[in-house]
Amino acid sequence: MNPDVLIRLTAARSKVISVCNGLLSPSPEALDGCASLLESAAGELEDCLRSLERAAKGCPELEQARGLRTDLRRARHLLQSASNYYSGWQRLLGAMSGGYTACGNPAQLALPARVCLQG
Amino acid sequence: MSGLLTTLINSASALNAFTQVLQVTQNNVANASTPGYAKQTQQLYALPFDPSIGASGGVRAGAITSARDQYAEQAVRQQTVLLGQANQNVNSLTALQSVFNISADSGIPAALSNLFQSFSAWGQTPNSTLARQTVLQSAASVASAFQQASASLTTLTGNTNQQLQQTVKQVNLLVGQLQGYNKQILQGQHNDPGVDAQVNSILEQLSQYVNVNAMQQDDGTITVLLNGQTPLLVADHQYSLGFSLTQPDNPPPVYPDGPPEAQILASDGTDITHTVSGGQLGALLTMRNIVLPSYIGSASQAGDLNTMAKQFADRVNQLLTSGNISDGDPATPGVPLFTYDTTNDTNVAGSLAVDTSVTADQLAAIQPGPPEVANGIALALSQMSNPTAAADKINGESYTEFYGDMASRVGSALSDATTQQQVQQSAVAQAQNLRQQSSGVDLNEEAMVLVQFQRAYEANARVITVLDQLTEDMINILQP
Repeated sequence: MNPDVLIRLTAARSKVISVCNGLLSPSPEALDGCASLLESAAGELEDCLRSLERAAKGCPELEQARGLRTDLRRARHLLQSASNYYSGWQRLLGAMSGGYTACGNPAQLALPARVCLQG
Repeated sequence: MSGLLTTLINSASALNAFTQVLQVTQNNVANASTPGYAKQTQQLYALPFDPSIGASGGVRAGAITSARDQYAEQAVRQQTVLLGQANQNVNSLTALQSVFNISADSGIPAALSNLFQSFSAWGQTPNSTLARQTVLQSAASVASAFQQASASLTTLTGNTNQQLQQTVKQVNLLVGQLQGYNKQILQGQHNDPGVDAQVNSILEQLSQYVNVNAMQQDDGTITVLLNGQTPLLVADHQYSLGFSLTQPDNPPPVYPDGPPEAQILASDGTDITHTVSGGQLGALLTMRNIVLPSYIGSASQAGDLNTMAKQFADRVNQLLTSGNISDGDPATPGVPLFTYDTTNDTNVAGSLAVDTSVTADQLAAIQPGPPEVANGIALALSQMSNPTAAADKINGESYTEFYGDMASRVGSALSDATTQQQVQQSAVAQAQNLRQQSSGVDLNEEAMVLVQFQRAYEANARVITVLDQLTEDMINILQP
């Protein structure tokens, strides 16, 4: 067992779980927070991989890695379903504002001209 | 004087409007926890004001509008369908996994192991009565283990049939409740938030059982379609689903005595099984018509358990009948040990037995050759445990490995189903939160959110792809 690898894997996994919890209410602000957590988790994993090449392999690490894979699948699914939801909204708003094209697709959404500043 | 009167009338009218606003707000608070309830808003309209032409102004109460967004509602129902399907998959596969015992101390693997060991012991002392008796007993245990596995799968099939019937009944019951609400709506309870809440609550319950599309008509009633195709409810008319077991005739059955197929029928008797793909009903149909038959057989396949039983029994019988009991002149040939129902390939495992007329001294150990080998057949039988010859294998594997593959298929499917269940639980929670967020939102603001979301989504999707790859690399390094 390699304690350093296990600690880093556990840390990466807990960040991904936080991302999953954040994606339950997928607003743009929540997603901005998720991106930084995911980048941090990626950093932990890269360090893990470097350590692993020199260290012995063990069961707890493998279990954590498989758990991490499951959590990543959940995060990916939640991100995709949020994207599908908002894409559907985009189509609805496009149809409501611009009607349909000759091919039967909703018109492209005409976005209002705004400047958005976030501090 | 008339000005004073006008002011008093306007004030009374305004008070009336605000009283309605308060009543709507009070109703919203009281129903905050009511399943399916959507917030109502009292619209207010300013009356024309121009004293020069006598327009005295004031405020009037308009229509009561609902915050319900049908797109968000449908999104919740879609995820609920998938969750219902995932929950049922976990339940069904858990029950199926219990049939396939891969432990070394019971079930088919243990019985096979004991039989191979008895063959091996017999090979070492081919004339030992005790060794031969042990072979007979071990063979009987193998037959019994196959029978038990077949019986368990048959019971599971029966349970799945019952669950299918119950689910169809539950769907019809819920649609019946919606029919009642449609009748109320047609009688004038249009725009009643209480009825609206009940209708949407029932639709959400219905979604866990089956994939439904719900559309509100101009008269306020709900039309419900199964998978967007088969009507279940139109105005005040319900179209009930049915369930039957039938042997398909197109294409003609290869195994006419095999277990029948489960069918879902529309109200006019049309087979709509292929349109039912989601929810609890879809999962049960997949288990009943695809997963279970792959083990126990159907009109179009023998099933892996039956195939294994047949090939094993045939191989053992073939080896025994190719040998001799004694090497006298003439030599006495061996007799087959196993029997099974030869008229129905989907009943081999269920009918596998040791021929009760065979005695220990009728087991043929002698391989005639030339050259003759006194324990040749016994040794050949024991080699089935670690086969090198193709004739001792099934689909290129040993019998133990083949059984292990059957069991691991279920285990792997259950593991995937459990993961999917956890993912879907989160997806339903997400859809419910999105529904909450979307209620009563300004469309311009919604358009801006879409732009921001798209940017944030792309950033997250890229990092998740990198993380996926890193995790797979890690698992590949860690795996023994």
